[in-house]
Amino acid sequence: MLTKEENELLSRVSAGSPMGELMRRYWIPVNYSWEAEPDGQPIRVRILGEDLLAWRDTNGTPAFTQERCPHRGAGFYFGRNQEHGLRCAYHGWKFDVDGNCVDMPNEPATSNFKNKLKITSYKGTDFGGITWAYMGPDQENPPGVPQFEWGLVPKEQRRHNRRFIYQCNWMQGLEGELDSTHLFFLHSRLNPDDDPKYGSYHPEHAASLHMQKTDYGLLYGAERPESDGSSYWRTTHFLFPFYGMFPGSDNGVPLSIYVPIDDEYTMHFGLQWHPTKPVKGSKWPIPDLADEPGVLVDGAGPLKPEQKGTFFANWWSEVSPETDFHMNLEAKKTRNFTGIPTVRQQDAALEWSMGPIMDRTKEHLGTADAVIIRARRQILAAARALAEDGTPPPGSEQPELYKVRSCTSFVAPGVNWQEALGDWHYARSTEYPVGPDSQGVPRGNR
Amino acid sequence: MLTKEENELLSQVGAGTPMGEMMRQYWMPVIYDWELEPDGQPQRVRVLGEDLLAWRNTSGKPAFTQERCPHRGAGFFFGRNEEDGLRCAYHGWKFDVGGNCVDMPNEPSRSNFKNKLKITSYKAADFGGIVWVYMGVDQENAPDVPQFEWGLVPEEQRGHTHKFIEKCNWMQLLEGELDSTHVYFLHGRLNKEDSPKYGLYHPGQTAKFHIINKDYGMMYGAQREEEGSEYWRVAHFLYPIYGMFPAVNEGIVPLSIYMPIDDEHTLHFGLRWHPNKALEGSRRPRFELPEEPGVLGGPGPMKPEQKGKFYANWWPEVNSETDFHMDLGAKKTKSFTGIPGVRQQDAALEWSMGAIMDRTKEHLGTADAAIIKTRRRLIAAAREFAEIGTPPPGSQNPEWYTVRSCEAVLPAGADWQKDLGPWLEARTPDYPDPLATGRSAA
Repeated sequence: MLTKEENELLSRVSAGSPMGELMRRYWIPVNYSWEAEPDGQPIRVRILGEDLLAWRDTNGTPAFTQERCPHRGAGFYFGRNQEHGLRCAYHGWKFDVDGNCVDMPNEPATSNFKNKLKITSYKGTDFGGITWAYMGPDQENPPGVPQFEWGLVPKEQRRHNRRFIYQCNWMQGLEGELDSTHLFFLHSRLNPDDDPKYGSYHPEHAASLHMQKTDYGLLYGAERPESDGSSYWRTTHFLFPFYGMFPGSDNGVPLSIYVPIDDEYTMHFGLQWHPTKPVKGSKWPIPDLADEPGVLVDGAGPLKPEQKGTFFANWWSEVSPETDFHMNLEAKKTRNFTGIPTVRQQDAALEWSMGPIMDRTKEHLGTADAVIIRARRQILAAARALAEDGTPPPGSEQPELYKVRSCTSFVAPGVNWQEALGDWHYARSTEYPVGPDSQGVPRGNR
Repeated sequence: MLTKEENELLSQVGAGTPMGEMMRQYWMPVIYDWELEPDGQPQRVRVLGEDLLAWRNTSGKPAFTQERCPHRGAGFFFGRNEEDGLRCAYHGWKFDVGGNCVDMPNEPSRSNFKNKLKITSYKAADFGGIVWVYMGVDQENAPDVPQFEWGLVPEEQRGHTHKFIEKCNWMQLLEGELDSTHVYFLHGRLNKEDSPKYGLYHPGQTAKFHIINKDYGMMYGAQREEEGSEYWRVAHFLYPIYGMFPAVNEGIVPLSIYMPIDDEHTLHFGLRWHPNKALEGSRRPRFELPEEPGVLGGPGPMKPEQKGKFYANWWPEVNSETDFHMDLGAKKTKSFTGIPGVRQQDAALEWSMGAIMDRTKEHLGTADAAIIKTRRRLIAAAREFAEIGTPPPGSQNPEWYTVRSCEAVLPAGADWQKDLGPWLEARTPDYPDPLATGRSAA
């Protein structure tokens, strides 16, 4: 349970709020790199409560600039992106990627008004198939982009499998990511003997949680006893400020990202990569749902047609509260726990149902929520330390810390889990530790 | 740039606000006269933040009366308009166009309750194909409707070209009307050799502004140099909501009206007239869009009747939910925005400023002089009316509204006001410079 003040501190991300200022010390993943084309139509985005346009100039340099023209406040969206700058459609004022006014054709040629005028512009960069923005105070000296391994491997070895807008606060999404015990309820199949395509299964509903604070956030292992005396471990990282790396397998390491659009909307990215092998399937999200009700798919299902006039217009999910997340009552009766057709929409259904900003003064946490409690404390402490003493938040200036992996593994009796799995976790080896099998399916699934 | 207080004063039009009270000293154009039939279904309207019903009684007299029955608050919309009055569908209470209760059939016949009961009812008038309302405090002594020339000429000489709801404050729309330099950007075509059907073109992207205070508001001439001559575009602002941009086509004069529905919605009327010639083509709004992307047309189709809303038939299909039909192919090759109509190009930019533009954040230049001047005049008039009750400009002088605008090419150094005056003040029906026609498009 949090106090009202703590809950506000954790949830609110606009400029000037402690958490908003913390977030602004990190690079923020915003769009897929292929969305904004050189000299192409600008894209409406909202990040940390700020409405911006994302575009690329003639050279391909990515830009994030203020939504409205400083002249009379008209939207730049309708403007023309050409010849190294974005020109407002109203009176032709033109600005470059750094926010400098480079042309003001409706004022007399003798005027020097344009030399005095700048618009808000944030640094942009491309890494790992994503265009990132840095909204920190020191635009001249941003840190490096976090060196996630998925941005370093050849692109055949990574896959962007999901992306859609969450209609709730970012922290509810991240908390779900760090929550081990919901897995064998929310995402489970009803009959242990059924095919795993209907959901996960493990006879052990509870797990022992082992947590380790790290420089970038938190590593935890959820341990469940196996019948042969070994332990089944699922390891997960929380990386500041909004990354959850749930357990990987030799099939790939997954990452979930919860970028705060504003206090009540979140952009969720899901991706996976493998350190050495090409990953199978489409490299970009596919909108398909399974034909058979109850069969889960890996993506996020279909998206709505372009929602013109709104931010991130192409990334609003069809599977949403307005459709009860496509809950199928027959599948719910016979196949899986919820009848909702994808794992991520199962998460979304529950996390959005908490309300746009969950009221944490009313919750009742148990021992299974230890990781969530710990992550909140670390995040709150970091936001306060930045606000009070200017302490840079964890990892914000150490991009190299982000090269980590998670796993699913069996560890023999008496062996320390962190030692057994350390080489994999910290990317010192590409050798997968002892896994359940190459599919990452735990024993309980068989 | 305005202060927050000035911006609110300028934008807010509800009863009790300075601008709202000033607006109530003028007649407001509300609905086409053909939309209200005698004994017909009442129409939901909202004017200056007040929800009203517009209707005509049996003898054709127009009425604007309060939306809800004073009895238990039920909507009169579902009532029956018959036999010289509007009867509430709930218990049959009936009111005439003057707001008097003329029948209360569910009360004992000896009750005199009905004689004591009145509903809000505002003076109404038909003029120039539009039904107008006067919401001023002194309903007994309303001035005359402003004597725009389009209301004085025979019906064949005027056309109502468009009407639609704009989803933003009235003032950012009026400002667009008085803004001369946006024309060759926002409404421009990309290649000057292309047909003018794709947009306007003029090499002079800047202009010199001559702003003249007038009793009815403001007149400006935008002067652009040409070889050995000067190209003039003359426009008027007329209190409180009228912009008359430069006339074209040998004397067809246009007028744009931005009637504040409330602080965040505006009813935009566009019309035009000729002092002595019948107009060709449709005299009512047309709703087709050109088939070829990039070709400019009218406001396009309206949404199907938005039942339950005010002005249910006038919500445009081309709007912020469609990115104003921006066509990226046409934007690349034909026109500055790829948006298919001049008025929709305006709307895209004006709505994008937000429901009420925040003028504390703007950066105005010399090209914005007419806008600055108009704001000052409006703010001053609203304050004077609030503080000492000075009738705002033109409110008591309907005859001042008989003016026209024009474009013209004059010899270098000519006295533009003198040369164009007879036309501008409607003393002659002869257009000053027919040769200038279409200049802006050529």
